[in-house]
Parts: sequence; C-alpha cells; structure tokens
Amino acid sequence: MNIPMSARFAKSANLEINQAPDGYVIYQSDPDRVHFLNMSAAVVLELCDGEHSLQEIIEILQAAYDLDTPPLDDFKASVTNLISEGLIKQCPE
Amino acid sequence: MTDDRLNSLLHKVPASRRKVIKGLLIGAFAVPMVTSFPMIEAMAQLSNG
Repeated sequence: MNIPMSARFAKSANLEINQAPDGYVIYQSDPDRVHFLNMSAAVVLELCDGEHSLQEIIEILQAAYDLDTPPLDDFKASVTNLISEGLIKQCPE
Repeated sequence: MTDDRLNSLLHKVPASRRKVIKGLLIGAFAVPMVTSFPMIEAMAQLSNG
C-alpha cells in the first residue's frame, strides 16, 4: 500500500476507545473486533484527527521521542495496519 | 522534551485531547503495534497482564 505522506486520516466512527495502562483497548462494532494498541500506536491513532498529515504526525513522533531519524518504516506499517483494521479512514483532499 | 515544546508540536490538537496525547507520549518510543481479534474492563486488565 503506497500512501502519500500528505494524506490525512481520521478515526472511524464505530469505535469505543478505552484507555489502558499500556495503551488503548478499542471495541469495534462493525466488524465485531477488539484491538490492542500500544502507547506509540495510540499516539498515531490520536493524531489521525483529520487535521494532521502523515508527514506532520511522523515529525511529531520524531521530535516528541527525541529520535535521530524519523521511524518511517515502523510508522508506515502501523498506519497500514490501522487502515486495514478499519480504525482510520482517509480524509478527502 | 519540555511542556512548551510539546504544546508547540501539538498546536493543532484541542487542549482536552492534547492532555491525553501527552500522557501517551510518556516513556521511550516503541514500534507502534496493533493487535486485533474477532469477537472491556476485563480486556483492559488482560492487556495489562
């Protein structure tokens, strides 16, 4: 899946998000699934608010965690996973 | 990372959500992981071990 870094995403509507000590537990009604997100994945999900592009999100991650280089591969894999699980949807340009 | 710097990074985020994100940013970076199962308090406890 080749997603442009300029793309913006928003959380899907059918989610019940519960904070857990080590991230998020999310109940999804359609399809009937439960998802565990670790802290970093929960940050990515929270920043998928329709306002931030993927480029902005990864820059926030790099700065907030004081990383030497942006975690591009891990980030793209997590976004792809969030999309495939139906947790986020791409916003129109 | 100072609070001012975090606020600057998260300037597009409403204040109420910003507090949540700051809480999630505690600790070192880990590879973002999503683990999903077909099918809440008990599940949260389970995820905490």
